[in-house]
Amino acid sequence: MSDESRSVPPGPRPRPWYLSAGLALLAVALVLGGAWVYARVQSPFPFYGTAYTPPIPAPAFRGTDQDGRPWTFTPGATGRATAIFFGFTHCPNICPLTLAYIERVRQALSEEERQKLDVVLVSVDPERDTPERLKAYVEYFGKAQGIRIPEPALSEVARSYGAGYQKVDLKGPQDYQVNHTTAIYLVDAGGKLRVLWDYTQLPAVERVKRDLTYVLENPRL
Amino acid sequence: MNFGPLLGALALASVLLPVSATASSASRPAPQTAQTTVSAVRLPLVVREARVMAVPPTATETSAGMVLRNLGSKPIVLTAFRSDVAARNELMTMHHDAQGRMGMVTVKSLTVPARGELVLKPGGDHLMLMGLKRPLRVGERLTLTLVTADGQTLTVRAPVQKP
Repeated sequence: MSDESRSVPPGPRPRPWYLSAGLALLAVALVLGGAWVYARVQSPFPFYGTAYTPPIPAPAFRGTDQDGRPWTFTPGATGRATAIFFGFTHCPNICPLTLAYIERVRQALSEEERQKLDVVLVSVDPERDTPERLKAYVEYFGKAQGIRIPEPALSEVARSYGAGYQKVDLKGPQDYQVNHTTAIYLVDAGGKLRVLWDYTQLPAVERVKRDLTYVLENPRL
Repeated sequence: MNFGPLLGALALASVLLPVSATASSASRPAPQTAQTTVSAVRLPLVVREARVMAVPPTATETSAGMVLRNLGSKPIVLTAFRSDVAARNELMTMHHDAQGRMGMVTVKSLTVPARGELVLKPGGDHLMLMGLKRPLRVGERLTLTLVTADGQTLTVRAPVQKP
């Protein structure tokens, strides 16, 4: 051992391996920590859904509800949070699932929390979706409001939320499908868009509920 | 760059891989047990989680899903299905367009891979019952008959369930 140490050429003492390893670990920790801090500053709550950073004011809109009454959504004026999604009552797949899973999340909330949340289905098929049809649909799969907005206002509202839809498979004036985007937008009691979930995320009821509870408790006023 | 060796390897692989695949499937025992699992047909399919989505009485179409497991060594190609309650029964899949809009499209066939599964569910491949002749009751069991490309059938009893 002592022979070997004598064979090292003179010069600055080599840095011990554990110091190098420590420095390397420190560097990695700093980079990861920095990324974590940055992410937290961008969105202090680790949302399961896609967060709006920063939250943006939700667009207002109006239409007719499932009872045929005029209905107006004025973000920030309801005192409650609002979950909005775009669908239609001839939708046999995505929309029933969306409504059913939102209902599961709603049921997972406390009674007090449930009172602070509205669920709104905006029809992307105002031609066929009468208030009666909407009422039957939203009450069958959960508890929501079914809002009909005539064109061209509907396309404006959809665009303002980033939603899209398109009539396809036209077999007749009353026989067609509507392709549509599948996000659920959560507007807080302060009227800000906070988070959106794709319908495929909804089966994770507990995680969606966590996002929802946070937004209910922390509206941006 | 010289692609010679690469092309050679690919050519060799294209010859050897199908051979080895055939060899491995031939070496396994034929799935005799499958025929006892499914009644009345020779199709080596096992069905689970069959259900028809309950919809409000105002609705005129609904979807059905199930998991089909193929115990056999050959893919099983479904080309149609039948039901008594709908005017049109179609095999469908879901797709996203470039703008992120989701919609259904009719497909000519759906394949249950050899020794694999085909999952039929609302957000993916599924069965569509269109032009419902009567409202469906939650809990009732509908008979769906799956039809394969070579004309064999498999009868599935599927309960009507809310999602």
